[in-house]
Amino acid sequence: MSVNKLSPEESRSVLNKIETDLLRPLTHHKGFELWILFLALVFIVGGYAYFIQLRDGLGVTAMRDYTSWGMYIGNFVFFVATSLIGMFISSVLGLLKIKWITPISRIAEMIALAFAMWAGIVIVIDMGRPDRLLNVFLHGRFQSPIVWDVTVVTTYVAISTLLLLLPLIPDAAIVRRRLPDLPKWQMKIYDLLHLGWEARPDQYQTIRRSMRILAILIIPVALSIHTVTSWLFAATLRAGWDSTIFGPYFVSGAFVAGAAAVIIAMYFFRYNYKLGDYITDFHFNRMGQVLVLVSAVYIYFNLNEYFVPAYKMRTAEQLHLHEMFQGHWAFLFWFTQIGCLAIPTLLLIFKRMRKPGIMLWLSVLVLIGAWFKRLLIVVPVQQHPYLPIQNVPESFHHYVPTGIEIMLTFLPIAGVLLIITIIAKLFPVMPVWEIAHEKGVDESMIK
Amino acid sequence: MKTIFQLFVALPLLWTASHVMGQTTTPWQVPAAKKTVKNPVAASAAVVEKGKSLYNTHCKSCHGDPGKNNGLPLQPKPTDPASAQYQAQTDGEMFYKMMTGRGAMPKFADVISETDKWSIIHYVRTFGKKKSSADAIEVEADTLAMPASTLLQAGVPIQLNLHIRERDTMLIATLTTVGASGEPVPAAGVEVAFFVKRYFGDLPLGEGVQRTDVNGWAAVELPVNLPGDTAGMLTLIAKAIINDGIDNVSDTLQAAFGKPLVMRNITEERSLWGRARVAPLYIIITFFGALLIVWGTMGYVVMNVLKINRQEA
Repeated sequence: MSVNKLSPEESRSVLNKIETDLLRPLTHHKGFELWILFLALVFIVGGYAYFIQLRDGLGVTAMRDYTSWGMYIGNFVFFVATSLIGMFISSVLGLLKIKWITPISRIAEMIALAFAMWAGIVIVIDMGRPDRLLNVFLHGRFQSPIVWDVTVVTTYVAISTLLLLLPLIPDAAIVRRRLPDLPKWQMKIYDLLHLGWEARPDQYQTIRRSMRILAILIIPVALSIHTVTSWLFAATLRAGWDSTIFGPYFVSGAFVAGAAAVIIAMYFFRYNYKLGDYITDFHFNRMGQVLVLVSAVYIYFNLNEYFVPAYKMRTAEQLHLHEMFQGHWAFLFWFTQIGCLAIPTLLLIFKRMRKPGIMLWLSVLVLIGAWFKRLLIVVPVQQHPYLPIQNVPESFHHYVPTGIEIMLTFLPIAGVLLIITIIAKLFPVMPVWEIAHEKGVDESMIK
Repeated sequence: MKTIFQLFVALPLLWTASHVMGQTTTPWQVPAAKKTVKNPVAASAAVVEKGKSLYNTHCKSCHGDPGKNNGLPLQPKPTDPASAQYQAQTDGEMFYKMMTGRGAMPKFADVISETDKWSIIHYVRTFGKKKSSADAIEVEADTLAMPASTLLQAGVPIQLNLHIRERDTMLIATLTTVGASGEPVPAAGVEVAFFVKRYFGDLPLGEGVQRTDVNGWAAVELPVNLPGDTAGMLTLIAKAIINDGIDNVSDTLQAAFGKPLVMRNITEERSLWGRARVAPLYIIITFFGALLIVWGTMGYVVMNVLKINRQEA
């Protein structure tokens, strides 16, 4: 499969350079402690907020009888959405034998795993009685999307973990050989993970075959995780959620958020980890094109989701849509739809816009928009129940997240960053062996 | 329940109709030829019973109980059949009015057969003062032909025993009373009503009025398809009507002659909305099937990968 085989001498020097470049961040980490300290601070503040919520109950949030799903659930949907990019890049593009994804596939997998793991935790944060979590498994109904959701999120985390770990096997052997002076506990991890890697052809075959099986397996699982998340909404009769296209609408939106997250991570690793030789402008250009593609599909689904009901304006939908288009939520709605989706997509169509610097800011905008879009999907619908309560307290009519909720939204975000930081600290952010293989390095030397 | 509901709807309608259509209080003219028509049905106790039953079904709801002047307050008020004004009519006049109707008084031409209409007239005539007139007949004498009546009126205790003749599912009430020297004697000619207990009120059994025969027996056939309780039990009741319902004697009987009631507990059936235990099979199969395939594949992959350190032969 390699493009042009190198001679043993050339192989040795190329491999040496790749190893040196990719393993440098494992030992050189300017500002790493400061970054961990910052994350720890967010954890302490968030942890205190969670303590208050546990002690006083969900009354400390702004969630009331009308809006019983608030920012937590919006955050959950955003997390599940963003995690889907792992499947898109390493499976869909990987199975299509698209070569340029090699240096970013592990970045995508890290994002997938971190977001999927924290998606599960976000749900627990939304529970008033987290000690009753086990009841979902003991008394869960197979007819309910909640049980499927718990099941598929767990399954997706498991497959994502495997897809992250398998390509780490040769890399663990490399780290073990190259950096023998790392702390003992760290060496133990590599010892455990390298599984006696000797770069034998049968070992390559096993790894490649296993990754291929998982790459195929993860596609239906990833599709079902976000489809089921959308069914949590679409399986109700509420105007605004009662939609037949919610599954594909969520999935397409997921790729937008995930692609933006990958671009931001690419930018960070390129400049902070000094990997400009590996994550090049070409890769940004390609990811920009991916973002345009998935955004275009998402815009198409948005048109269907909003303008088809708006054309008919059934009484129940009318209340909701007016609030979105020109009422209370109008600013946020048009900001996310135009400012954070349409404009970035239009700009990224032009090649000169698909440069790392511009793409970073556009991706940040897209990701922020994606987060608010989830809030707009979850919250406004609930404020127009079919059967309004009489003499309802004023607070039921509005939803403005409390400080506790905001802190407990930042906590999982910090958690995601922490997981990515730890993985990127322990392992090279790119599969060394795959990159070396692509450069034509003799495979039997990669160990 | 349905009947009560219909009544609630029908009463205001009737009341309105009587005011709108019945404003004409002009005397109801009956053609001379019709006036003189004679009652072609021979009077007998059976005919009078039949007439009473028909009167209760078709006439009582407006005309009330004869002699009690408790008819509906319509405009004009339905005449009490026992009143002198009513009884002054000839049989022909009564028949004609039933045939044609006027205002709130419905037309019964096609509702009740001619024979039945004449039976009603026979019954109504029993309230007339001129019982010995040409039209009236000696109903009392006829009734007195039944020996039990006298005994009953004398306040002699009467006993009712209800049982089922399983051979042909006849429900039989045996009435006994006490003879002159204290020995049990069959009570003949006593009116017996049979019922099956239902959720709301009792369901009457049999057509018309049953009277005990000379053996003191009255019988009615038990319908075979009545729904019973979960064991198919029915509560059967026989009631001897004595002294116009003042001194009734009754007996009840539990019998497994009903169709057993099959309670359909839909919370125990497989459904999308039910509990986990009754989830539809296709969902359980899909759920665990998919889980098995996905986790099985993952397990297979892990097993393979864990073996890569083994040197191949």
